[in-house]
Amino acid sequence: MMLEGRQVRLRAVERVDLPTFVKWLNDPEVTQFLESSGPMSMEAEERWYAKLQAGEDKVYSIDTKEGKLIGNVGVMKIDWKDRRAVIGIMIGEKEHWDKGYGTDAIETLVRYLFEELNMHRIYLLADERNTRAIRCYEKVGFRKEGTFREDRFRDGSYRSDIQMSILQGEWDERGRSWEIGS
Amino acid sequence: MELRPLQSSDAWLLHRWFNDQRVLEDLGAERIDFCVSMDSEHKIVERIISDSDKRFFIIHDLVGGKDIGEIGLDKIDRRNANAELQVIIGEVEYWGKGYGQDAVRTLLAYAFNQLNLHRIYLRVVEYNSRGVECYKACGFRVDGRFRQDHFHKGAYRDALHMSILREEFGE
Repeated sequence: MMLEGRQVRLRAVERVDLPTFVKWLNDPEVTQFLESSGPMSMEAEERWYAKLQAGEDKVYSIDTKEGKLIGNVGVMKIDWKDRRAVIGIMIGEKEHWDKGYGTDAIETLVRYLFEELNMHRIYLLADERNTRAIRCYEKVGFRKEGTFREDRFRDGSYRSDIQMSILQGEWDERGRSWEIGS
Repeated sequence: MELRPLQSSDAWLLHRWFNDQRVLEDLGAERIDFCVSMDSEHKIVERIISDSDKRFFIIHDLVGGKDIGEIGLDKIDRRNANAELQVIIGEVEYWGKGYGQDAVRTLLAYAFNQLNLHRIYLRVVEYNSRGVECYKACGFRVDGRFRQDHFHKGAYRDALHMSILREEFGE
């Protein structure tokens, strides 16, 4: 299914999306806070895509309601016993920054993970200087739960990451659960 | 309406239908992926058509000349002569017009009269009332309720198990 948010729609990654992903991954402004450090080739991206088809991790493309591809979201380290997963997001089209698309994409994904896959805990690491992402996760209901001090080396210096999480019960408290037939 | 065998070139139809939230709503969280790419749909179709325990068809509307859904038998058990029926009407504007019933009856006739099966069963989520009514109208009976069978929209939901025996068909 296409997961419908208010501003965006999440769908499966298609092969035709790959050149756009490569374009984003080679933009230092887009990747400055991401784990992957470019440059990225088309061949490496195709290998990533092939691995994605076979693996447990999930990545979904983010389209605007007009059908423009603007980014992607991922679900990693899915653990069915502990019912937890890590999520991540990239909005590659910079003119779509700061307009609520990222928040809507995360909210739509988190709703799916809690209300359909019955996950218990969703968590992630964000660069402490990535205020755009941190604010966006907070709007969805994530809480800061710790700092990973200088855990990543990037562009000549060590960076610290904030770990954030949201629990299923906290999501339910927001009263977002839908009834059948709605 | 007619049923024609599913073939690999139909993958785009399944890609369209199995990415439609309105269609999936009635199926009850059967797939772990909430959306499926064209590449994986191709693989799914290849698996279906190369498996002798499955017989799947595209439902083709003869009036409008349009492919509107998929129906088939899964887990064909030749020793015990039973199989599981699965059906979707993927084109939403064809809902509520009797196409599903027509397709189910056609497939049942094929299963009982050509494949010589004895019992056809299915699983349907309890909130898919359109489906339940269709199956009852075709002669299926409720065998039982699978309590809290799947997780959907924030809670565990029930599913019904239904079946029809050869001698009950066409009663």
